[in-house]
Amino acid sequence: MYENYQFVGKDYPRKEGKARVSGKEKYPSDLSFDHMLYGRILRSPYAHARIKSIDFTEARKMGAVCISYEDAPDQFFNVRLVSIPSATYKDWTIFSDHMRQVGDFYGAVAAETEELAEKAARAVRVEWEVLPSYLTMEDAMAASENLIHEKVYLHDKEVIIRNNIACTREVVEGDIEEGFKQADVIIEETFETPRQYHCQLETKTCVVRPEPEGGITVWPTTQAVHNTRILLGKVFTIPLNKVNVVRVPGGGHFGSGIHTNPVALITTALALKANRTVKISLSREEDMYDHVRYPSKYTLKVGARRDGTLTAGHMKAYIDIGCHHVQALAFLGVMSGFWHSLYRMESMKYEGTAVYTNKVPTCAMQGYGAPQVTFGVESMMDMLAEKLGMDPIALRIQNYVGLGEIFWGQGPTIKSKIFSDGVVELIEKGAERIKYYELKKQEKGSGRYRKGIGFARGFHTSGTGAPMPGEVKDYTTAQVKVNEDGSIDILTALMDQGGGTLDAAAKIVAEEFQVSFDKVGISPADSRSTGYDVCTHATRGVYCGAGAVHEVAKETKKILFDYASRMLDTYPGSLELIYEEDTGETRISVVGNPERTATIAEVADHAMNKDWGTAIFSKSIRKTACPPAYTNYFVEVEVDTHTGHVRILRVVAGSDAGTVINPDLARGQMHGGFYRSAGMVLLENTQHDGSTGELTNKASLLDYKMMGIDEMPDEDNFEVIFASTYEPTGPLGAKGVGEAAFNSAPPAIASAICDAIGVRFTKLPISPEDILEAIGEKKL
Amino acid sequence: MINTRIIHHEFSYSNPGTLAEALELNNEPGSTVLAGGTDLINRLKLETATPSRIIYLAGIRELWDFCCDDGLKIGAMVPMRRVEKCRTVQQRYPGLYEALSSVGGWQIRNMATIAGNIANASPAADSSPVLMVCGAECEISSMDSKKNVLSRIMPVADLFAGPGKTHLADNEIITAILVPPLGSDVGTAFERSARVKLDVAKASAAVCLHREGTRCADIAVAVGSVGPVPLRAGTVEGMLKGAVMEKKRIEDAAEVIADDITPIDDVRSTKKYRNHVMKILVRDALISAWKRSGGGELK
Repeated sequence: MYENYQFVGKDYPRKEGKARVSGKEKYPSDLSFDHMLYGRILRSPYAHARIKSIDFTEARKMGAVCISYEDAPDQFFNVRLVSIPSATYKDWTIFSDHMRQVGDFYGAVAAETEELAEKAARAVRVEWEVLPSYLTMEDAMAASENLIHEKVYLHDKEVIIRNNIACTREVVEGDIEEGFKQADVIIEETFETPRQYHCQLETKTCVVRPEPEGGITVWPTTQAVHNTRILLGKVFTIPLNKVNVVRVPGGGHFGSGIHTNPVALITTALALKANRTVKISLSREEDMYDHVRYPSKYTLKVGARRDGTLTAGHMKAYIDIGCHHVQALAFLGVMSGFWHSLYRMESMKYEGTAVYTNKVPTCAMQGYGAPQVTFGVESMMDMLAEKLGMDPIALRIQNYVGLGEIFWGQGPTIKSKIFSDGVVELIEKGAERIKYYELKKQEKGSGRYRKGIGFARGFHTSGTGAPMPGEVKDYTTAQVKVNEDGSIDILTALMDQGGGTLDAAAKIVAEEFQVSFDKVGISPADSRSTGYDVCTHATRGVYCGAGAVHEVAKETKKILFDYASRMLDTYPGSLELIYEEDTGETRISVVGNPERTATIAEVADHAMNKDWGTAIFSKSIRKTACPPAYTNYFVEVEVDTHTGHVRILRVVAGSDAGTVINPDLARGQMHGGFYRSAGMVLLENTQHDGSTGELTNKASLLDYKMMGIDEMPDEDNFEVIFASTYEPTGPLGAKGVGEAAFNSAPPAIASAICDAIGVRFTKLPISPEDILEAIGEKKL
Repeated sequence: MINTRIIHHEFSYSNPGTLAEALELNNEPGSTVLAGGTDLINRLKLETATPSRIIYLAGIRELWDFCCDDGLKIGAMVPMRRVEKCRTVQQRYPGLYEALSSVGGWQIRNMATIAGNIANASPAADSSPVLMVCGAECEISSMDSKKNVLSRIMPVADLFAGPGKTHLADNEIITAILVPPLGSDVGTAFERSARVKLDVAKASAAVCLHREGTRCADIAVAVGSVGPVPLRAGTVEGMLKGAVMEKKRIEDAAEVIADDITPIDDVRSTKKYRNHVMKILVRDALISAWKRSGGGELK
């Protein structure tokens, strides 16, 4: 199908590539302004404590501007504004005298240099009342007093918290009791996934400048320019036309910038108090105490008939959310949805409980519930196949939710129909490329090194649009303008997180106007000059974000064609665009009358000189579907049975992204998604000391290990296959890749380890220590 | 909370051009020397080092000298990467090469020095065990109250006093590492276990073995990350010294490594795992050193 496209599906150097590789791109942490102060945040050394008094005397002597819970706005809010208000729990204030984790914040100081601010921060004296802390869900749920939160708000309704339970969610379809009765085989297993840290390259940073007319300009690390604006406006009661949040290139987010990072609120509070520009960059250690992935612990029970039909499923999940809601209600919902949409079940029941503990707040990270659920469900499909004596792949093909069926994009309130499905194509091609069935049959032998092959599949939603409004907001506003020289500018608050979202938007516009890629520019954007965009999350960048740009581009084109028809004395419907490769020019010509022609530049220039106007259009667009971006992984590993080390030998990755707009970048997404998922399987976790509540790795990168280039297979051993699908609701047939690249990899790696040594791990990460322990028990 | 972003501690900074100047400055209490900085800068941020003066040694020409004609003489400023890339080191001291190329990434090794690695006295330092088994020595300088420059030689094996502690006096500086020449019937090897390549070792083992025919005439085994300092494995050595080398014998010798080590549970690994994996590392290093000594395939 790509032969029909001039630009889409071809690789070009990225628009910001030169700036990035030459170090000229300015990220929030690079920004510096005249008369700027540097801030440091005052943090709790205790996991659970109340502050009796604070003494700023020494800090003030050093000239520091000091602020605490005593003089900052104290209204409740949630940092994440993606959900609608009636589904949003609020348990945050900017500062508090109630410290709920090590690293929780009660105030901040600003000074002329960062070093001085640090000294001032250390000079602040606090009188503490240390409270009993709850560092496991069991301890937290057993508590009836000294709760982590006493009361919170759901929208504007007060909610009294009992036993540290933040919220619960139940989703039921059909009758599982009846379903389990119908089953010939029932299996049950408990799965656990870790508190993975985002470890985005740039730590959370914000610069805030108070403006003379009373507003503020904000340069944050964020995935959501508009939500940051709305939250800051609300908390600090500043009219939104005086809150300008600038889109700054981010040094990575992986989901940690969907919510407004506390540093943005704290920096604003300090800047307003000081009436000076203030900048705060978190240290890496502060950042690791700021956000981690939702962990999960859940029991999964599945019933099936002998023929492989799934009759019932019951998932009971407990989520240790740490000390704040970054919207755990939504998380519980998506867990049910991602589970529901993996395989057809005649009946299902999901029970989710989110529990407060005195730990780092958990939030979205690449996959948002899907990696957690997919790990257990896919492991269980392997186990079920074994029990039924079926081929695990055939069992999956028989049961997966595909073409024409209903897909829950983000939980039970976001349902849409599936119009494109490359699942079987990807499985068949992948199995062939890696020689799955041959490897599966191979004898493992008795040597030191054992090889194993694993497979798993999954998906992510492409955005959170749906035919009906749900609990999650999803739309993007864009403007497309044709300049007088025929070049085009796109203006939108849509963020590019590094995956090439804005490049994709530019390429889609280039295709629509048949102008070369370098003639389409991405305008700098801020919240005042753009309409609302929910944020770049949920793998919505290309499908929803660039999709909105595409719809707007079509409207702009209509205006351009109207001008052209007047200029060429014909009707808009009789015009076509022709890209001349040799000149790089694009002509608007009358179909069948090639002599009646003008370049886009001539038309735009003519329209201006005739005072007809500029070809420009702006609109908010919501997608009314959320197509599944399917992925699968075939992974071959080698386990050293003497040391327990796992080496990933070969990967064949499959992505059903519909039309692939940026092939190299999409491949890069698959590499990156696999890379982080391998970290989650083999390495990455944050754990709290059971008595102090500190991170056992001291929040230091020295002891938060991630995979390196040496741990990854080389490029020749990492193959990406794209499905030849076309998503009819997507921009030029595209859907997402992003998080889908992550979601199906963890169970594939675990399955390969199981194939190699015959041990199925149900708890991640799997360390060499765990592997040796298991091998010892098995007497391999 | 620890902090690896801001060095708020204040210190004076000197960049002497001669060793004598550096030594004189180093007599000042609270002073410390800076070579590659890959450990010291972290320690400044972590406040495990709070010097009143930092003396940068890069201006002292002779500390950059690296000589590999008859044994090795490695000046205190010579980056690990330079030593690692040296053909003599790769061919004659493969164990040292393996240890050096295990340290961090090459960006680190372009800065880090061997003198710094051992002076930092981490029980996990990759270069320490291999330098110990090769019989390497440190050349140490200081200045007395009459401004005489004093020099002495100390075996690397005697340097370590505890985690982060050496037997150097406060005013002493390691100026060079001396590694004796090794004959063609001597084999060296280094093995390590770590969470990932770019990590501090969970456990490491180095072997230097002198072969005579089918016999192991002399042997040194040292291990890292399994005690407060890098340790010599006397029990293992005792089982192999003078013995005819066979696979079974090596495996048996590796089994008794547990007698020589005192590993602990920490964030990187467990005592149990270290006790187990150390046998594997010692065995693999012994086999590899034997082959490199010209001993061929083991029966």
